Amino acid sequence: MSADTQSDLTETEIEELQAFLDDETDEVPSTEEIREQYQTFRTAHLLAHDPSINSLVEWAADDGEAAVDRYRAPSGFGDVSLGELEDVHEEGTGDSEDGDEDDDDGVWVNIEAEVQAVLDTNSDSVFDRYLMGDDEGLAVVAVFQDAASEMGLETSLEEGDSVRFETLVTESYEGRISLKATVVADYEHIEYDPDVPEQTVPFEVFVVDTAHDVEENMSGLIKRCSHDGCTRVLDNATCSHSDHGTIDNPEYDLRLKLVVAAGDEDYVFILDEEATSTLTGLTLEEAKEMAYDAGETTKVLEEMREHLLGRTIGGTVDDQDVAMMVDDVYLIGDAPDPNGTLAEAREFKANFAADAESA
Amino acid sequence: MSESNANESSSEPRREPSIYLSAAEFNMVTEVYQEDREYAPKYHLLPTMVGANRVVVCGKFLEFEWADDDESYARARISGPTGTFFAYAGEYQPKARDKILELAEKAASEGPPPTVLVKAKVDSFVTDDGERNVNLQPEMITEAPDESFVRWVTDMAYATMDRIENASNGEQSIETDVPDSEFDVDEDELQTILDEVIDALEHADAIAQQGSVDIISEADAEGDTAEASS
Repeated sequence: MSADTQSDLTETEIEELQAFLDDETDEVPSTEEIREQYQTFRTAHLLAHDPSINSLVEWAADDGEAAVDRYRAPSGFGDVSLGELEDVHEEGTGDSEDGDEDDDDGVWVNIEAEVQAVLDTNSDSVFDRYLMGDDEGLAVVAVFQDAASEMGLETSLEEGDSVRFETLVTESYEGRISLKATVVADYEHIEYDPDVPEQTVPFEVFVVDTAHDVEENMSGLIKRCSHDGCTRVLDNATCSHSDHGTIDNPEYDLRLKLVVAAGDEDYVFILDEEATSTLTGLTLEEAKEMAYDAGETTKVLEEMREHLLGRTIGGTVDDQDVAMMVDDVYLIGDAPDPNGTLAEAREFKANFAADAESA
Repeated sequence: MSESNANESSSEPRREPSIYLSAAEFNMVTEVYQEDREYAPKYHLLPTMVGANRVVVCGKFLEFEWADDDESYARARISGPTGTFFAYAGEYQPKARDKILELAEKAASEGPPPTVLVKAKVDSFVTDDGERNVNLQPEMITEAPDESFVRWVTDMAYATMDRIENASNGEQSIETDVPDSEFDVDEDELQTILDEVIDALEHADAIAQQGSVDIISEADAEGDTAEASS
């Protein structure tokens, strides 16, 4: 929280706050009281504007500081390990106070974990998303822009950074629990070297498509923002970070976003430079040359699609995010041999006809 | 995910794999089987003794037209070496429908018609004459290079031969809820399907050997479509 104990809430903010508390509770503090406990009510005001918070009421009627403490460890959960998230979320949202089974309801937790990866984000309101890992498990933490300013996070965290996050809120989406850092969250660097468990699952899937749900240039030879600490994939030379705009000297990278199918279930797999190289046989340097010769980067994706569409691939994938990071990948099956298959089919037919006749 | 993993992690009923089959086989389907319980999947009975729920097919995207006056149901014609598939995408398949419109533009412009890989649910309707017309309800349509077509043909050939072999022994190659008794295997039909598969392989072989070859079926060239228009 910005530690401005002398500042005042504006008249509007106080009025809004009182109106809110009036709706929800019998105890509406006076303007005086609100001003006296600036910190507490600043928090309340911020919380009142964050749609993910519903239990403001419970503590508003209580004594200020103790209430804030309770907020920092609300719903009784406090410090949790990433392996407990699912249980904690279920336990916490199961007995929601207003009986509102809204999916937006989450529980408040504190975690200590290490950044395993900085994930993609294309939303203006999100500062960054991190895949965090501790001794018990992994989870994605999404830090919103306003949250980042509030907690003094200016540049992105990096892989390997160990952090204590306080007052994150859990969210359930498509069966996965992730964490959000909103304006009430806080962080600090810590010393922590966890033994992050393997959370990869094996797969064998059929490559249906390269995903271009947002723009075409999200796969193949891609460009990333060259601003310090920003790794966002550029969309036509523009970074989705509101301050970065057009990037003239992007950093190149290889990446594939594949739509794959196993039976009738579809998934989105993300392959980083290493996985993409392994699967397609193209190095980043070769890809850059290819793009240079062709005058555009889309040539690289075309080549990769030719190589991969309709193929079966196997390996292991990190099952943490809705779009899954591929850990280990390889092509299954040889290149098709229609000539050989044709010969086999003719033989099969001959035998089949013979069997039919003798039947 | 490997089949077993996918099933373990799911609380849904068992899911069926997508079936690779030729247009010739697909258009021979006349019967459907569906159990009388909520959310029971619909199986279209293949002549090769398998209940098909989802399929993967490949062919040239030839054209599209609106199947209804409100222009909400798009009908696409996809042609392969063994016949034609009709695909319908309505308001509940918005992605597929958008893709169809996109492809239609491409098909209408100069150059060869685009080859597409389609993953679809099998659907059908019964005409006034009491005939069942099978069609595709696409979940995914993607433009694929010739190499993918060749690959699909060989995969389809193996899958089909497998089904034919098992069917001629009275066995279903893929287990579903459909009882054996629902199927009426006709050896002549199996022969026809096999011949068509060989045709398709010859096309694929030609493509592999000398670059792009027209893979529209002869039947189509003569304007003979496999499905009566509704």
